[in-house]
Amino acid sequence: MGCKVLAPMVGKIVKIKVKVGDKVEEDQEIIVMESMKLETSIFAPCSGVVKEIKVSEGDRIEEDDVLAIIE
Amino acid sequence: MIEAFWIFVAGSIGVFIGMAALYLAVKTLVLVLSRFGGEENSNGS
Amino acid sequence: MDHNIISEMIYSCGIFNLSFGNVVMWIIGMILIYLAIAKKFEPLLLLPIGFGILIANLPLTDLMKPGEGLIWRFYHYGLQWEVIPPLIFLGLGALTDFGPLLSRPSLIFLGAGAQVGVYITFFCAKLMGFSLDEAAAIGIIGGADGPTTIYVTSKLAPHLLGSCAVAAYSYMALVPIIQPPVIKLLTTKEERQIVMKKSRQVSTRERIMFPILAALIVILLFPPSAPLMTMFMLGNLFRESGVVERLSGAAQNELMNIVTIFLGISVGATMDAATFLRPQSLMIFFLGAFAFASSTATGVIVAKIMNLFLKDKINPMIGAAGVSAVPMAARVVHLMGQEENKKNYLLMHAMGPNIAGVIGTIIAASIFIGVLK
Repeated sequence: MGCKVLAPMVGKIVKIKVKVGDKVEEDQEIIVMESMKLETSIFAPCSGVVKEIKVSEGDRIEEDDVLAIIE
Repeated sequence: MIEAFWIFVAGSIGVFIGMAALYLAVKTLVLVLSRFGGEENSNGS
Repeated sequence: MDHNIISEMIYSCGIFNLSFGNVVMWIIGMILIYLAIAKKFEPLLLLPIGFGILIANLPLTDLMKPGEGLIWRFYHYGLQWEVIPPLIFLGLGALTDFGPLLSRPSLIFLGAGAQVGVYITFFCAKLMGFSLDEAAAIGIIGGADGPTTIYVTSKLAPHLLGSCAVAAYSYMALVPIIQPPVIKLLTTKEERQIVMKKSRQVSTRERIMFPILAALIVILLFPPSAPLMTMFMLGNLFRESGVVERLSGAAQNELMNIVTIFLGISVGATMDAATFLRPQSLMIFFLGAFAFASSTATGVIVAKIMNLFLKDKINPMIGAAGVSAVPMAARVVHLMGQEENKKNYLLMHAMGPNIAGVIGTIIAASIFIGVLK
C-alpha cells in the first residue's frame, strides 16, 4: 500500500514531527511548513510506517516535492 | 437616496464588467502565449 | 511688564489649553499603541497612528498648523497631494505574486464579488445619514485595503480619514474573527470540504505580460484608477521582469517602509479630539465591521453562484478571500478548510481571489471617485 507525502504548495519546512520508523495514522500531523507567512500542517495521506524522510527542517520546497514515504 | 441606489447597482455591475474585461484579457494572453509554446515554466510561489 | 511676561508664559503652556477631549484621545492613542505592540494588531500602521493621535492632542504645538507644522507638511505633501498611497502600491506590486490568480483566471470574479459588500455598506451608510462622499469612503473600508481606503477618504471625505483608516486596519487584524462565522453561515459542510483541482503552472511570460495588460485595461476603462493602478502594476513588473532587482527590492523594502512611516504619522495626526470625537466615528466603526462582513458574504455567494456553472468546483470559502486583506483572509480560509478536511490545502487557491480583490477594490474606488467628483 503506502503513499508519498507531497508538498501541497511552495514554502519552507519548519518542523518535522515524525522520524523514520514511526507508525502514523491517516490525517496525523507529520510536518509543519510555512507558506505566505502562515504556518500550516501537512497531514499523513494514509496510515503506515514512515519509511523515508526526504527533507530537513529549513529546506525550501516546491509544490509536489516528495517530502516523505509511508509504507 | 435614489442616487445612492443607482451608484450601488451601477458600481457593482461596473466592477464585474471591469474584472470580466481583465479575465478575457488574461485568457487571451494565455492562449496567445501557448501558441508560441515551450518557454520556461515557473510555479506560483 | 513682568506680570505680562509671566502670564504669557503660563497661558502658552499646553496644560491650560488641554481639553477633556484631548485626554480621551490620549487614551485612544494609547489603546492603539497597546494593540499594536502587545496584540500585534497591524503594528506597522497602528503604532505610528496611535502615537500620532497622542501628538495631535497636545495643544499649541502647531504641528498640524497649515503651512507651517512639521506633521502638516507630511500630511499635506503625502496625503493631500495623494502621493503616499500610490507609492505604497508600488511596493505592494513588487511584493505581490499574481501566479495563483493567473493559474485560474476565473477567480478574478471572486475579487469582484467581494466588492459588492462595499456598495452595500455604502448604501447603508447613506441611509444612516452620511453624505454620498462620506458613505463612499466608509464603504471602501470593506475592500480591506489600507492604501485604497486612505486614498479614497483623502479625496472624498478627508475629515473622516482617521476613523476610516483606523477602522480599516483594525478590522484587517480582526479578519480571523469576523470572517469564519459569516463563511459558516453561508456554506454547507460539503461545500467547505471541496478540494480544488491542482492549479496549472504559470509561465514567466504570462507573469510579465499581466501587469502591462491589467494596467492598460483597467486604466482605459476606469481612468481614476490610474494613480493606484500604475504604481501597483509597475511594482509588479519590477518584480516579474527579474532585471531590476534593486528597484524591486527598494520598492518592497526601503520605499514601502519609509512611506508607511509618513503615512502612519500623518493619519494619526488628523485625529484631534474635535475631529474624531463625534457620533459619526462610532457609526463608522460599526459600519466598518459590517463592511468586512458583507464583503465576505458577497464573495462567498458569488463563489457559490460560479459553482453552478463549473465542472471543477471551487471551494466557496475562497470567495471570502476576495476581501483583500492579503494574506490574512487567505490564511483564514485555508485554516477553515483544514478544519473540515485535513488534506485540503486551500492557501494558494485562496490567494487568487485575495489579490484579485486588490484590483477589485481599486476599480470600486475609481467608480466612486469618477461618479462623485
